[in-house]
Amino acid sequence: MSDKDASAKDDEQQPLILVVDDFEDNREMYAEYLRHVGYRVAEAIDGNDAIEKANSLSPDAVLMDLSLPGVDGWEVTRRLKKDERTKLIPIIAVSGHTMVQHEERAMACGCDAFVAKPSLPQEVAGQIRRALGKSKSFKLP
Amino acid sequence: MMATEDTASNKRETESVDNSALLANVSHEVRTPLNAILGYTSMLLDDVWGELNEKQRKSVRRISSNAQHLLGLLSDILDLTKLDAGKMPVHVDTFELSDLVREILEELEPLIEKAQLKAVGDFPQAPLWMESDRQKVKQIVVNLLTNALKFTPDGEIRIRISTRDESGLSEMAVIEVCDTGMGIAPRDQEKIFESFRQVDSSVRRARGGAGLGLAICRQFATMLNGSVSVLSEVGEGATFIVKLPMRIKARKETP
Repeated sequence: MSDKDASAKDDEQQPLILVVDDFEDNREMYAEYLRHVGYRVAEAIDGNDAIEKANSLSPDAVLMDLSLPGVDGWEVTRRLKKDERTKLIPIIAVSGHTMVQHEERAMACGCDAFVAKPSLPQEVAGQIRRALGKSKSFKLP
Repeated sequence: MMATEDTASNKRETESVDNSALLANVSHEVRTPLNAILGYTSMLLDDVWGELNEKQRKSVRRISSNAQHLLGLLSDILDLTKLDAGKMPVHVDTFELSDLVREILEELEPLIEKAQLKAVGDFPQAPLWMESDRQKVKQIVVNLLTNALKFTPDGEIRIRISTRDESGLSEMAVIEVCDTGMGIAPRDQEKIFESFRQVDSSVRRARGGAGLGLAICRQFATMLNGSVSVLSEVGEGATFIVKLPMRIKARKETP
């Protein structure tokens, strides 16, 4: 994992996105596309990994799967939004839990946006772009 | 006696809670791999890993459209299951029917073009305001139009909006979807509104669709105190007729 995380050759100017998903195929799919369009990407495979990397890497946005082993994505979001160091990072929930109550719970935990799976990587990249545009000025890819 | 009834109704309640939890899980478990399939195919089609040749592009498009089909099937099955369990509430909104149908025709334009057909809307002069469940009316019309697209090799599809006074009843909105397709034999005309029933299972393979669209139409129309029926002869196309009350009362949702 670590060799993939924000590797040194990446341009430091590009926003760093933390992709959280326990299912490798979906995590890498989003990660590969976001790298392809020019973002730097770090990956987290469960809730604890996500909290740790959000703190150590200070990503510019988090793509958050909600069903995660251990601490789930709703709880991770709640904790990140409570913590002074991480509360300003936009969190975009991407989940196969598509019922209204799942979305409402995600927003109540502090998610900035909610996207239902299946969601194409192009669509997810659009959401990230929107979230970054709101928070600070970037040279967006 | 009361105690027994209570236990029975508690049991039913528990079963239906179990069922909806199970369905929510099934939905999540199906969406997760579909996300990977649709995501990777869309990256391939976007030439993320280089340009595809014609054969590759055609193959990847087929993977993608079949995955889309599975997704449609999943949401149809979830809808029908919710309907069976009486878990689908009716939301009453106020909307203008012709606007809604124009919106649907716009959304379906890519499909209509792909089928190389013409779709013609026939709207009344006066606005037709309804107080009904907009989302359900929309799905009825979408399902009827996609059904017509599937079974019309060439020609046109006409959608006509009007109102009718049924004797003793209030004014009804009438939506007619008329195609120039293969038509349906009288003996098959009721079957097509049943779940997973198409006239012929070879039709399913040739034209796609699981045979749930019309079943959902009928159930939704019934929920909105209306009806859906068909007039057709083999080889002469078909006209589906939806009649819906202009106004329905908001019902209390069953818990």
